[in-house]
Amino acid sequence: MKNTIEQVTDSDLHRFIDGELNESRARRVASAIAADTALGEKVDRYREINRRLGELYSNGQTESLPSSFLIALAGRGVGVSWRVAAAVLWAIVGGLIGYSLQAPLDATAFVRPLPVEAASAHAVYVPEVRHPVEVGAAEQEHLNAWLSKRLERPISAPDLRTAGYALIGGRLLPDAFRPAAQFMFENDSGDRITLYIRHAPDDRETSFAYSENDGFGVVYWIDDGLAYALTAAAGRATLTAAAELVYREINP
Amino acid sequence: MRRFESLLIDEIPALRRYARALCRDPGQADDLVQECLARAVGRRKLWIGHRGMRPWLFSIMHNTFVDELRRQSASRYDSGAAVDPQSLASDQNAELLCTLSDFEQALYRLAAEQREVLLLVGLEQMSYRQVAKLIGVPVGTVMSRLARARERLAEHLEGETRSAKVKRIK
Repeated sequence: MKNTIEQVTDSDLHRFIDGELNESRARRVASAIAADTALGEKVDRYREINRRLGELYSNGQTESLPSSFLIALAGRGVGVSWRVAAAVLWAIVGGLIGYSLQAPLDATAFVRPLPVEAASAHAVYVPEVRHPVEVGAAEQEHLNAWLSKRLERPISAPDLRTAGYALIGGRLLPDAFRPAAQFMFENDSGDRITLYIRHAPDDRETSFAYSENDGFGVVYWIDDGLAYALTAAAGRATLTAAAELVYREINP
Repeated sequence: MRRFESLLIDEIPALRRYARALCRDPGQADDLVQECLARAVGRRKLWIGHRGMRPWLFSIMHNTFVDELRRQSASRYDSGAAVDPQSLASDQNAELLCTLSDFEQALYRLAAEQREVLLLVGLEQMSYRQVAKLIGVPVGTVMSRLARARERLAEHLEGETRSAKVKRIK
Protein backbone atom coordinates (compact mmCIF):
# COMPACT_ATOMS: atom_id res chain seq x y z
CA MET A 1 0.00 0.00 0.00
CA LYS A 2 1.31 3.44 -0.85
CA ASN A 3 2.09 5.50 2.17
CA THR A 4 1.43 8.94 0.70
CA ILE A 5 -1.87 8.80 -1.12
CA GLU A 6 -4.21 6.01 -0.28
CA GLN A 7 -5.61 3.85 -3.05
CA VAL A 8 -9.28 4.60 -2.84
CA THR A 9 -11.73 2.35 -4.61
CA ASP A 10 -15.27 3.20 -5.55
CA SER A 11 -16.49 0.87 -2.88
CA ASP A 12 -14.51 2.90 -0.33
CA LEU A 13 -16.35 6.00 -1.42
CA HIS A 14 -19.74 4.40 -0.87
CA ARG A 15 -18.71 3.03 2.47
CA PHE A 16 -17.29 6.42 3.41
CA ILE A 17 -20.56 8.19 2.61
CA ASP A 18 -22.61 5.58 4.40
CA GLY A 19 -20.47 5.54 7.52
CA GLU A 20 -19.38 1.96 6.98
CA LEU A 21 -15.63 2.54 7.37
CA ASN A 22 -13.79 2.36 10.64
CA GLU A 23 -12.44 5.61 11.95
CA SER A 24 -8.83 5.38 10.79
CA ARG A 25 -9.79 4.19 7.32
CA ALA A 26 -12.42 6.89 7.07
CA ARG A 27 -9.87 9.52 7.94
CA ARG A 28 -7.48 8.28 5.27
CA VAL A 29 -10.23 8.12 2.65
CA ALA A 30 -11.31 11.64 3.61
CA SER A 31 -7.84 13.03 2.99
CA ALA A 32 -7.59 11.16 -0.30
CA ILE A 33 -10.91 12.71 -1.34
CA ALA A 34 -9.72 16.15 -0.31
CA ALA A 35 -6.62 15.72 -2.45
CA ASP A 36 -8.41 14.57 -5.57
CA THR A 37 -11.03 16.74 -7.27
CA ALA A 38 -12.42 13.88 -9.33
CA LEU A 39 -13.03 11.83 -6.20
CA GLY A 40 -14.49 14.86 -4.47
CA GLU A 41 -16.96 15.45 -7.27
CA LYS A 42 -17.98 11.83 -7.23
CA VAL A 43 -18.63 11.93 -3.50
CA ASP A 44 -20.60 15.14 -3.91
CA ARG A 45 -22.80 13.52 -6.50
CA TYR A 46 -23.39 10.45 -4.39
CA ARG A 47 -24.29 12.70 -1.47
CA GLU A 48 -26.54 14.75 -3.70
CA ILE A 49 -28.47 11.56 -4.49
CA ASN A 50 -29.12 10.99 -0.79
CA ARG A 51 -30.08 14.60 -0.33
CA ARG A 52 -32.60 14.46 -3.17
CA LEU A 53 -34.10 11.22 -1.94
CA GLY A 54 -34.60 12.83 1.45
CA GLU A 55 -36.14 15.89 -0.13
CA LEU A 56 -38.46 13.89 -2.37
CA TYR A 57 -39.72 11.43 0.17
CA SER A 58 -39.44 13.06 3.54
CA ASN A 59 -43.09 14.07 3.41
CA GLY A 60 -44.51 10.70 2.43
CA GLN A 61 -46.59 10.55 5.57
CA THR A 62 -48.23 13.95 5.38
CA GLU A 63 -51.22 12.84 3.39
CA SER A 64 -54.25 11.38 4.98
CA LEU A 65 -54.14 7.74 5.73
CA PRO A 66 -56.20 5.61 3.38
CA SER A 67 -59.07 4.07 5.22
CA SER A 68 -58.06 0.78 3.69
CA PHE A 69 -55.18 0.69 6.17
CA LEU A 70 -57.74 0.38 8.88
CA ILE A 71 -59.18 -2.61 7.20
CA ALA A 72 -55.72 -4.08 6.90
CA LEU A 73 -55.23 -3.57 10.60
CA ALA A 74 -58.62 -4.60 11.80
CA GLY A 75 -60.15 -6.66 9.05
CA ARG A 76 -58.45 -9.96 9.69
CA GLY A 77 -59.88 -10.21 13.14
CA VAL A 78 -56.51 -10.99 14.58
CA GLY A 79 -56.53 -9.02 17.72
CA VAL A 80 -56.42 -5.45 16.50
CA SER A 81 -59.61 -3.91 17.66
CA TRP A 82 -61.50 -1.24 15.80
CA ARG A 83 -60.77 1.01 18.72
CA VAL A 84 -57.07 0.73 18.06
CA ALA A 85 -57.60 1.10 14.35
CA ALA A 86 -59.67 4.20 14.95
CA ALA A 87 -56.92 5.54 17.16
CA VAL A 88 -54.49 5.20 14.25
CA LEU A 89 -56.82 7.06 12.05
CA TRP A 90 -57.31 9.97 14.38
CA ALA A 91 -53.72 10.14 15.41
CA ILE A 92 -52.40 10.20 11.89
CA VAL A 93 -55.08 11.72 9.74
CA GLY A 94 -56.15 14.13 12.43
CA GLY A 95 -52.64 15.12 13.30
CA LEU A 96 -51.50 15.57 9.77
CA ILE A 97 -54.32 17.27 8.00
CA GLY A 98 -54.33 19.99 10.53
CA TYR A 99 -56.69 19.01 13.25
CA SER A 100 -54.29 19.07 16.10
CA LEU A 101 -55.07 17.01 19.12
CA GLN A 102 -55.13 20.14 21.25
CA ALA A 103 -58.89 20.20 21.10
CA PRO A 104 -59.83 16.55 20.98
CA LEU A 105 -63.40 17.09 22.03
CA ASP A 106 -64.56 19.56 19.41
CA ALA A 107 -66.60 18.66 16.38
CA THR A 108 -63.56 18.02 14.22
CA ALA A 109 -62.96 14.92 16.29
CA PHE A 110 -65.84 13.40 14.37
CA VAL A 111 -64.53 14.20 10.93
CA ARG A 112 -64.04 11.07 8.90
CA PRO A 113 -61.55 10.94 6.04
CA LEU A 114 -62.96 12.48 2.90
CA PRO A 115 -62.95 9.34 0.72
CA VAL A 116 -64.68 7.37 3.45
CA GLU A 117 -67.35 10.01 3.90
CA ALA A 118 -67.85 10.40 0.15
CA ALA A 119 -67.97 6.68 -0.54
CA SER A 120 -70.40 6.18 2.28
CA ALA A 121 -72.75 8.88 0.94
CA HIS A 122 -72.37 7.37 -2.50
CA ALA A 123 -73.22 3.89 -1.25
CA VAL A 124 -76.34 5.14 0.50
CA TYR A 125 -77.88 7.35 -2.19
CA VAL A 126 -76.80 5.90 -5.50
CA PRO A 127 -79.01 2.78 -5.32
CA GLU A 128 -82.07 4.99 -4.70
CA VAL A 129 -84.58 4.68 -7.48
CA ARG A 130 -87.19 7.19 -6.40
CA HIS A 131 -85.22 9.62 -4.23
CA PRO A 132 -81.60 9.65 -5.32
CA VAL A 133 -81.45 13.43 -4.88
CA GLU A 134 -83.26 16.08 -2.87
CA VAL A 135 -83.33 18.66 -5.62
CA GLY A 136 -83.40 17.51 -9.23
CA ALA A 137 -81.49 18.82 -12.23
CA ALA A 138 -84.63 20.59 -13.42
CA GLU A 139 -84.12 23.04 -10.57
CA GLN A 140 -80.39 23.29 -10.99
CA GLU A 141 -80.21 27.00 -10.33
CA HIS A 142 -82.06 26.62 -7.07
CA LEU A 143 -79.89 23.62 -6.16
CA ASN A 144 -76.67 25.58 -6.69
CA ALA A 145 -77.97 28.60 -4.81
CA TRP A 146 -79.21 26.50 -1.91
CA LEU A 147 -75.99 24.52 -1.50
CA SER A 148 -73.90 27.68 -1.89
CA LYS A 149 -75.88 29.29 0.86
CA ARG A 150 -75.56 26.35 3.19
CA LEU A 151 -71.84 25.80 2.58
CA GLU A 152 -71.27 29.56 2.57
CA ARG A 153 -69.25 29.21 -0.60
CA PRO A 154 -70.24 29.47 -4.26
CA ILE A 155 -70.94 25.92 -5.31
CA SER A 156 -72.32 24.70 -8.58
CA ALA A 157 -72.76 21.36 -10.21
CA PRO A 158 -70.07 20.83 -12.86
CA ASP A 159 -71.15 19.97 -16.38
CA LEU A 160 -69.95 16.44 -17.10
CA ARG A 161 -71.92 15.89 -20.29
CA THR A 162 -68.77 15.72 -22.40
CA ALA A 163 -67.90 12.63 -20.38
CA GLY A 164 -71.37 11.26 -20.97
CA TYR A 165 -72.73 12.03 -17.52
CA ALA A 166 -75.84 14.11 -17.02
CA LEU A 167 -76.74 15.75 -13.73
CA ILE A 168 -79.53 14.06 -11.78
CA GLY A 169 -79.44 16.59 -8.96
CA GLY A 170 -77.97 17.00 -5.54
CA ARG A 171 -78.49 17.02 -1.83
CA LEU A 172 -77.29 18.53 1.39
CA LEU A 173 -75.54 16.17 3.78
CA PRO A 174 -74.28 16.41 7.34
CA ASP A 175 -70.56 15.95 7.77
CA ALA A 176 -69.34 16.13 11.35
CA PHE A 177 -71.77 18.90 12.32
CA ARG A 178 -71.17 20.84 9.14
CA PRO A 179 -73.02 20.92 5.84
CA ALA A 180 -71.63 19.05 2.86
CA ALA A 181 -72.99 18.70 -0.66
CA GLN A 182 -73.43 15.80 -3.02
CA PHE A 183 -74.13 16.02 -6.74
CA MET A 184 -75.16 12.91 -8.60
CA PHE A 185 -74.67 12.19 -12.29
CA GLU A 186 -75.73 9.35 -14.52
CA ASN A 187 -74.74 8.12 -17.98
CA ASP A 188 -76.85 6.36 -20.61
CA SER A 189 -76.09 2.94 -19.21
CA GLY A 190 -77.34 4.02 -15.81
CA ASP A 191 -73.91 4.20 -14.15
CA ARG A 192 -73.87 6.82 -11.45
CA ILE A 193 -71.08 8.99 -10.25
CA THR A 194 -71.20 11.38 -7.29
CA LEU A 195 -69.26 14.48 -6.39
CA TYR A 196 -68.99 15.13 -2.69
CA ILE A 197 -67.96 18.59 -1.48
CA ARG A 198 -67.15 19.74 2.01
CA HIS A 199 -65.03 22.36 3.70
CA ALA A 200 -61.33 21.68 3.65
CA PRO A 201 -59.52 21.68 6.98
CA ASP A 202 -57.05 24.34 5.81
CA ASP A 203 -55.92 26.34 2.80
CA ARG A 204 -53.71 23.64 1.43
CA GLU A 205 -54.23 22.48 -2.14
CA THR A 206 -53.51 18.91 -3.05
CA SER A 207 -53.20 16.90 -6.20
CA PHE A 208 -55.53 14.01 -6.96
CA ALA A 209 -55.39 11.11 -4.58
CA TYR A 210 -57.10 7.82 -5.14
CA SER A 211 -58.44 5.26 -2.76
CA GLU A 212 -60.87 2.40 -2.79
CA ASN A 213 -63.54 2.23 -0.18
CA ASP A 214 -65.90 -0.65 0.10
CA GLY A 215 -65.69 -1.41 -3.60
CA PHE A 216 -66.00 2.19 -4.76
CA GLY A 217 -63.18 4.13 -6.28
CA VAL A 218 -62.71 7.66 -4.97
CA VAL A 219 -60.55 10.39 -6.44
CA TYR A 220 -60.25 13.31 -4.06
CA TRP A 221 -58.47 16.60 -3.81
CA ILE A 222 -58.52 19.95 -2.04
CA ASP A 223 -58.80 23.15 -3.96
CA ASP A 224 -59.40 26.67 -2.75
CA GLY A 225 -60.74 25.77 0.65
CA LEU A 226 -63.04 23.00 -0.48
CA ALA A 227 -62.45 19.29 -0.43
CA TYR A 228 -63.83 17.33 -3.37
CA ALA A 229 -64.32 13.61 -3.79
CA LEU A 230 -65.54 11.93 -6.93
CA THR A 231 -66.90 8.45 -6.33
CA ALA A 232 -68.07 5.67 -8.64
CA ALA A 233 -67.92 1.94 -9.02
CA ALA A 234 -65.02 2.50 -11.39
CA GLY A 235 -61.27 2.28 -11.42
CA ARG A 236 -58.62 4.87 -10.98
CA ALA A 237 -58.14 5.76 -14.66
CA THR A 238 -61.82 6.44 -15.33
CA LEU A 239 -62.21 8.42 -12.15
CA THR A 240 -59.09 10.47 -12.66
CA ALA A 241 -60.24 11.43 -16.14
CA ALA A 242 -63.62 12.47 -14.76
CA ALA A 243 -61.97 14.32 -11.88
CA GLU A 244 -59.88 16.30 -14.34
CA LEU A 245 -63.04 17.35 -16.08
CA VAL A 246 -64.63 18.35 -12.78
CA TYR A 247 -61.53 20.31 -11.87
CA ARG A 248 -61.57 22.17 -15.19
CA GLU A 249 -65.27 22.90 -14.83
CA ILE A 250 -64.72 24.34 -11.38
CA ASN A 251 -61.60 26.29 -12.40
CA PRO A 252 -62.42 27.47 -15.90
CA MET B 1 -43.49 -3.99 26.88
CA ARG B 2 -45.55 -1.88 24.61
CA ARG B 3 -48.32 -3.48 22.76
CA PHE B 4 -47.81 -4.87 19.31
CA GLU B 5 -50.42 -2.57 17.80
CA SER B 6 -49.01 0.65 19.07
CA LEU B 7 -45.53 -0.28 17.87
CA LEU B 8 -47.00 -1.20 14.50
CA ILE B 9 -48.89 2.05 14.28
CA ASP B 10 -45.79 4.07 15.05
CA GLU B 11 -44.08 2.60 12.02
CA ILE B 12 -46.79 3.39 9.49
CA PRO B 13 -45.36 6.77 8.44
CA ALA B 14 -41.93 5.21 7.87
CA LEU B 15 -43.44 2.35 5.90
CA ARG B 16 -45.40 4.75 3.75
CA ARG B 17 -42.42 6.91 3.07
CA TYR B 18 -40.36 3.94 1.99
CA ALA B 19 -43.18 2.48 -0.11
CA ARG B 20 -43.71 5.84 -1.81
CA ALA B 21 -40.10 5.91 -2.79
CA LEU B 22 -40.08 2.30 -3.90
CA CYS B 23 -43.13 2.40 -6.16
CA ARG B 24 -43.59 5.14 -8.69
CA ASP B 25 -47.33 5.02 -8.21
CA PRO B 26 -48.66 6.35 -4.87
CA GLY B 27 -51.70 4.08 -5.08
CA GLN B 28 -49.49 1.08 -5.55
CA ALA B 29 -47.39 2.26 -2.60
CA ASP B 30 -50.42 2.41 -0.35
CA ASP B 31 -51.48 -1.03 -1.52
CA LEU B 32 -48.05 -2.27 -0.59
CA VAL B 33 -48.24 -0.76 2.90
CA GLN B 34 -51.71 -2.12 3.37
CA GLU B 35 -50.69 -5.62 2.39
CA CYS B 36 -47.64 -5.36 4.58
CA LEU B 37 -49.75 -4.32 7.58
CA ALA B 38 -52.20 -7.11 6.93
CA ARG B 39 -49.39 -9.66 6.78
CA ALA B 40 -47.81 -8.24 9.92
CA VAL B 41 -51.09 -8.50 11.80
CA GLY B 42 -51.59 -12.02 10.52
CA ARG B 43 -48.13 -13.02 11.70
CA ARG B 44 -48.04 -11.17 14.96
CA LYS B 45 -47.33 -14.41 16.79
CA LEU B 46 -44.12 -14.69 14.79
CA TRP B 47 -42.94 -11.28 15.88
CA ILE B 48 -40.05 -11.46 18.26
CA GLY B 49 -40.14 -8.32 20.34
CA HIS B 50 -36.43 -7.85 20.82
CA ARG B 51 -35.76 -7.75 17.08
CA GLY B 52 -37.43 -4.39 16.82
CA MET B 53 -40.54 -3.57 14.90
CA ARG B 54 -39.03 -1.63 12.03
CA PRO B 55 -36.64 -4.27 10.64
CA TRP B 56 -39.37 -6.85 10.95
CA LEU B 57 -41.90 -4.71 9.09
CA PHE B 58 -39.38 -3.74 6.45
CA SER B 59 -38.57 -7.35 5.78
CA ILE B 60 -42.28 -8.10 5.41
CA MET B 61 -42.50 -5.11 3.10
CA HIS B 62 -39.60 -6.44 1.05
CA ASN B 63 -41.23 -9.84 0.69
CA THR B 64 -44.54 -8.25 -0.20
CA PHE B 65 -42.84 -6.11 -2.80
CA VAL B 66 -41.00 -9.05 -4.35
CA ASP B 67 -44.17 -11.14 -4.38
CA GLU B 68 -46.04 -8.31 -6.04
CA LEU B 69 -43.39 -7.90 -8.72
CA ARG B 70 -43.36 -11.62 -9.38
CA ARG B 71 -47.10 -11.64 -9.56
CA GLN B 72 -47.20 -8.81 -12.04
CA SER B 73 -44.17 -10.23 -13.82
CA ALA B 74 -44.26 -6.94 -15.67
CA SER B 75 -41.22 -5.84 -13.79
CA ARG B 76 -38.86 -8.67 -13.01
CA TYR B 77 -37.20 -8.15 -9.69
CA ASP B 78 -34.26 -10.43 -10.27
CA SER B 79 -33.59 -9.56 -13.87
CA GLY B 80 -31.19 -6.78 -13.07
CA ALA B 81 -32.29 -4.96 -16.20
CA ALA B 82 -31.73 -1.24 -15.94
CA VAL B 83 -34.81 -0.43 -17.92
CA ASP B 84 -37.91 -2.43 -17.71
CA PRO B 85 -39.31 -2.03 -21.20
CA GLN B 86 -42.56 -3.75 -20.44
CA SER B 87 -43.52 -1.57 -17.52
CA LEU B 88 -42.39 1.58 -19.25
CA ALA B 89 -44.38 0.69 -22.31
CA SER B 90 -47.73 0.67 -20.61
CA ASP B 91 -49.55 3.93 -21.11
CA GLN B 92 -50.38 4.43 -17.51
CA ASN B 93 -46.80 4.10 -16.44
CA ALA B 94 -45.57 6.31 -19.22
CA GLU B 95 -48.06 8.93 -18.18
CA LEU B 96 -47.00 8.68 -14.57
CA LEU B 97 -43.36 8.95 -15.48
CA CYS B 98 -44.05 12.16 -17.38
CA THR B 99 -45.27 13.87 -14.24
CA LEU B 100 -42.04 13.06 -12.41
CA SER B 101 -38.86 15.09 -12.30
CA ASP B 102 -35.93 13.86 -14.38
CA PHE B 103 -34.24 12.63 -11.26
CA GLU B 104 -37.28 10.58 -10.24
CA GLN B 105 -37.57 9.18 -13.73
CA ALA B 106 -33.98 8.04 -13.51
CA LEU B 107 -34.72 6.55 -10.10
CA TYR B 108 -37.64 4.53 -11.42
CA ARG B 109 -35.67 3.34 -14.40
CA LEU B 110 -33.33 1.55 -12.05
CA ALA B 111 -33.92 -2.13 -11.59
CA ALA B 112 -36.19 -2.60 -8.59
CA GLU B 113 -33.53 -4.52 -6.66
CA GLN B 114 -31.07 -1.65 -7.07
CA ARG B 115 -33.61 0.99 -6.16
CA GLU B 116 -34.56 -0.94 -3.07
CA VAL B 117 -30.99 -1.07 -1.77
CA LEU B 118 -30.37 2.57 -2.64
CA LEU B 119 -33.44 3.63 -0.68
CA LEU B 120 -32.76 1.45 2.33
CA VAL B 121 -29.27 2.87 2.61
CA GLY B 122 -29.70 6.41 1.33
CA LEU B 123 -33.17 7.22 2.59
CA GLU B 124 -33.74 4.86 5.50
CA GLN B 125 -30.14 5.13 6.68
CA MET B 126 -29.73 1.42 7.28
CA SER B 127 -26.33 -0.20 7.50
CA TYR B 128 -25.18 -2.57 4.74
CA ARG B 129 -25.45 -5.42 7.19
CA GLN B 130 -29.02 -4.53 8.13
CA VAL B 131 -29.99 -4.30 4.47
CA ALA B 132 -28.33 -7.61 3.69
CA LYS B 133 -30.24 -9.29 6.47
CA LEU B 134 -33.47 -7.63 5.53
CA ILE B 135 -33.47 -8.67 1.89
CA GLY B 136 -31.59 -11.92 2.41
CA VAL B 137 -28.48 -11.39 0.28
CA PRO B 138 -24.78 -11.15 1.15
CA VAL B 139 -23.32 -7.76 2.09
CA GLY B 140 -21.25 -7.83 -1.11
CA THR B 141 -24.42 -8.00 -3.18
CA VAL B 142 -25.87 -5.08 -1.28
CA MET B 143 -22.76 -3.08 -2.07
CA SER B 144 -22.71 -3.91 -5.76
CA ARG B 145 -26.39 -3.06 -6.16
CA LEU B 146 -25.87 0.19 -4.30
CA ALA B 147 -22.86 1.07 -6.43
CA ARG B 148 -24.70 0.39 -9.67
CA ALA B 149 -27.69 2.44 -8.56
CA ARG B 150 -25.57 5.38 -7.49
CA GLU B 151 -23.46 5.27 -10.64
CA ARG B 152 -26.51 5.52 -12.83
CA LEU B 153 -28.02 8.36 -10.88
CA ALA B 154 -24.65 10.11 -10.66
CA GLU B 155 -24.39 9.95 -14.46
CA HIS B 156 -27.75 11.57 -14.56
CA LEU B 157 -26.68 14.35 -12.18
CA GLU B 158 -23.55 14.89 -14.22
CA GLY B 159 -25.71 15.34 -17.29
CA GLU B 160 -27.76 17.88 -15.37
CA THR B 161 -24.76 20.01 -14.43
CA ARG B 162 -23.43 19.80 -17.95
CA SER B 163 -26.62 21.07 -19.50
CA ALA B 164 -26.86 23.76 -16.82
CA LYS B 165 -23.38 24.93 -17.76
CA VAL B 166 -24.26 24.95 -21.45
CA LYS B 167 -27.24 27.12 -20.67
CA ARG B 168 -25.14 29.50 -18.66
CA ILE B 169 -22.56 29.83 -21.44
CA LYS B 170 -25.28 30.65 -23.93
